[in-house]
Amino acid sequence: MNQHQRVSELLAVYRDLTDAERREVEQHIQGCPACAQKLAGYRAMDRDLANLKARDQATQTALQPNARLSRSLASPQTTRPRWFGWMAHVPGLARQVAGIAALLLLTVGLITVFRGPPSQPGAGPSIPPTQTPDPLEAFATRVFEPEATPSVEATEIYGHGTSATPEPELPSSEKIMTICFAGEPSSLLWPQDDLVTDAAMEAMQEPLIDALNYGYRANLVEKLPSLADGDATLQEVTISEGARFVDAASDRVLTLTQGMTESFALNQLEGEPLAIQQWDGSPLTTVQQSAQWTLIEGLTWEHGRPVTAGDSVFAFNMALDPNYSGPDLFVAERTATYEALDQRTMRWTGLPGLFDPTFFINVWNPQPSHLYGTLSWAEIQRDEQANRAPLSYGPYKIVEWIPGESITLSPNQYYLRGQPPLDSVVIRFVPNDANQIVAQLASGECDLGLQDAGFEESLPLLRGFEEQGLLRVETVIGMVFEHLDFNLQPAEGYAGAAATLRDNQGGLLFQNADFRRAIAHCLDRQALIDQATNGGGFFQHTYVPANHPLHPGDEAITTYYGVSPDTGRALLGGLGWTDTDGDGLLDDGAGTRLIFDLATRQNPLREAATQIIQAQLRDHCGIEVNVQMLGAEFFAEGPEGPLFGRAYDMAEFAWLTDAEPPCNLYLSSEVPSEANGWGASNSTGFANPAFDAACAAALNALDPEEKAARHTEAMRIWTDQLPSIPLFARAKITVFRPEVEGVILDATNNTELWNIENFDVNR
Amino acid sequence: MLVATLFEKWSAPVAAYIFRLVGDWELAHDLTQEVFLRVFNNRHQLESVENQRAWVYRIATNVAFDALRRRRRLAWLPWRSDHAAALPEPTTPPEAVDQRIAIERALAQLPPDYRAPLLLYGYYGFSVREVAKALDISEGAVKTRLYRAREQFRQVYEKEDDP
Repeated sequence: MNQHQRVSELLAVYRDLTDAERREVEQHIQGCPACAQKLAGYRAMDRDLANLKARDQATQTALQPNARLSRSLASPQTTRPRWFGWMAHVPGLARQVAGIAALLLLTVGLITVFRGPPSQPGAGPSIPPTQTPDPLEAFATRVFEPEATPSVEATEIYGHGTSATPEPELPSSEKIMTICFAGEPSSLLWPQDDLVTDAAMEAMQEPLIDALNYGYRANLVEKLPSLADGDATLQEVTISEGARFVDAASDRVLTLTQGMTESFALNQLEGEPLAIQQWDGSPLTTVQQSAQWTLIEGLTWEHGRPVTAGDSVFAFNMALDPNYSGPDLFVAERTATYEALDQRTMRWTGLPGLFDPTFFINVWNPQPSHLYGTLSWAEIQRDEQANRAPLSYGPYKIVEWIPGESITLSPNQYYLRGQPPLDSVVIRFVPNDANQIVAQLASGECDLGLQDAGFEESLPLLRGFEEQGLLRVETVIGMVFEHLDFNLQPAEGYAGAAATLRDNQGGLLFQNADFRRAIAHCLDRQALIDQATNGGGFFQHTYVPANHPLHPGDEAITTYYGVSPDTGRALLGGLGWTDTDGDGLLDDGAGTRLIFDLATRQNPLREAATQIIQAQLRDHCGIEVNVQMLGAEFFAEGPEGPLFGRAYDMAEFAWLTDAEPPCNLYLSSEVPSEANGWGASNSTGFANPAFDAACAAALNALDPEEKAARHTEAMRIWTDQLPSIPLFARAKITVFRPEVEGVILDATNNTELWNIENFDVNR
Repeated sequence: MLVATLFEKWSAPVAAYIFRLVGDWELAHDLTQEVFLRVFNNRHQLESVENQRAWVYRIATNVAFDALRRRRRLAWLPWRSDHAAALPEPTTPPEAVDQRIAIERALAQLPPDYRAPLLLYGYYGFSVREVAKALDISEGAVKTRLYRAREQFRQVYEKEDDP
């Protein structure tokens, strides 16, 4: 055999060459273009074969054992380890405690296991298959057994890794990542508006624009449109009889008609909106916005058909279907036109009068018009594929969905950013039990546990695992912040403390800012965070967290309320509330004690938080609080619901912050009342004209500096007046195994799977 | 590892592998059941098996080859166009379909002795050592067969791909 022939044969196994063979091949192909070409051909051949495999597996129906095999598999040999059943059948809280106890036991045992078993040499960890292992022993063995060393030395050549065989467990060279969800989506039909569906759909239909780090980033469009670049416009238009427009005062869509009796306002290019009490029929001027986006070239559905601007327009048209209801409906209804300019370019034009500072995100994620273009929304809602296996243009596509168990994804060979690193992603459902997910992360059954599990209660345990190098725990300040609202404007007929307790000037106590400031000083919010969230919360002073780009810095917020019971008591004394009878509780000296209700929606975190608040107010300042744990009725609309019906004293719940600081939550126009149909957010009843002006100016500002300055002003007024005490931002917590790579937890993106195309496992 | 777990993890890829050897999904599914029944019957060997995946594929290869022998199709396996027609890809671009069909036809025309190592190496990313274990042949024989398989595949594919 001459050298050329020998090298030719070596090329056929190019992934498995020894160092000497690799050197020989490299030297030879330098002078042999045909050999280089042959090598490229072999690599292409393997890529084609791998693609064929992906397709074969994707087109198969899930294989179930037949009767004969089932009988064999059902024998005792195949039963799950006892600990599994034991964990699965211990109910509720007892199971949590038992789960944590078991894991703590294992953590303690970990050091022993790592130092080596005390048994005789040669006693390996393997358990004969016919023997049922002891639950904890089996768990410990699987969790803590060191990784097997590959039996063949790895050879990296020509860009391909080796498939040297680890042994004895899981020898597959396939890269499979198991992501564990606490909840299972009911459907994957768009629009997605819950955490689990959002997370799952990142793999198949990632958004055209990503919300990242309190801002927006073009993801699958070439850029975000802007006025400066000319791909967005803001111009003056004239409207007349029959025109549909957006009322600047109410955000409602109205039609300009002769004889209309409603008053309205029209946004103007400069200055305040033009207020119209009654239209006299003459033409009116207002603003109109437009913007356009171009899809990145190469965006392709999983079967090879290009994703087009028409697919995006189709999704917009569906949003206007009478049966449709989704978060995009608000913008859709305020859209004049949304059209495809060419194969990849869409243009949005808002209705006259609409002034939307975030116009650049008013684009619709594409949906396959070639599949559903002839169907109504009601028909699509009944379509099996649309619900269970939506067509992908993302990094992965659905192979199968086993209800109650898992969704399996395989790479989308048409993904425009190339083949993702993983051969398969399995989304497993581990319902509503963070401890089960922790156990399965520790045992390797899960590679990544999502934030929806609610890891707050397990944080100390997780930190222990992290210290041992078994798991990684990532936390970031989330967008959800818990706060304590005061009822400044009790509804008519409400007879609770907020409507009856008075200061020494005769005013309602809850309307006095010094009372609210006193409560803030009486609280130790850091202690509350430490105790209620196991340290999984972040202190914040206002309605945006400290890491928000528009947080002005503590020094710019003039009022800071540190823990200071003496200050709190002094402020309360100034309002006529002291301990006159020496019982340790404050009273007004006329027989009325300082007692009020603290209502919240029942859940473990809020139960803990409100009880801590109750204890702190009593112990620090002599204030008696009755905690009311309410069900779903807590958030019911007014006038029946206590919170939005303004029939409460103090309430603890959460709001979401956003890229735009949510000052609008506290506008006087947002106080829920009969006039606005009780459908508004400002349950505190806070009404401050200076705050309203600063907030409105901030929300409407297009200039970033102007926006920041106005938000700072609004926050300064808000923290001074303190209609609500911010408690803490909930941390987003995700947990994954050390071999998982690519997970980046972002403050504003709803899911940690936003960059799933980069996820890898390095086993 | 428990046989049920093995089935859960590997039944799909094993079925796909067998399909590429026998050219018939229905038969491939039946044979996959057979494979895991044999795995179950030999489960006492699992703990001593150095490479479980290669071991399972060795059983799969034997089962598939036995089936081929039974069907007297050792020499040449015709492409089953009826299966291609049944696949739900109404909107795949024609050139992509053509290319895939050419690859599948070229693969189907290789003798099973060459098709099996090429599938295991190129389709599943096995190492030479694993292929040797799966097919119960020497590593030298794997290298020779792979080289011949690749050359034959290339020639057939080029012929298939010609308009």
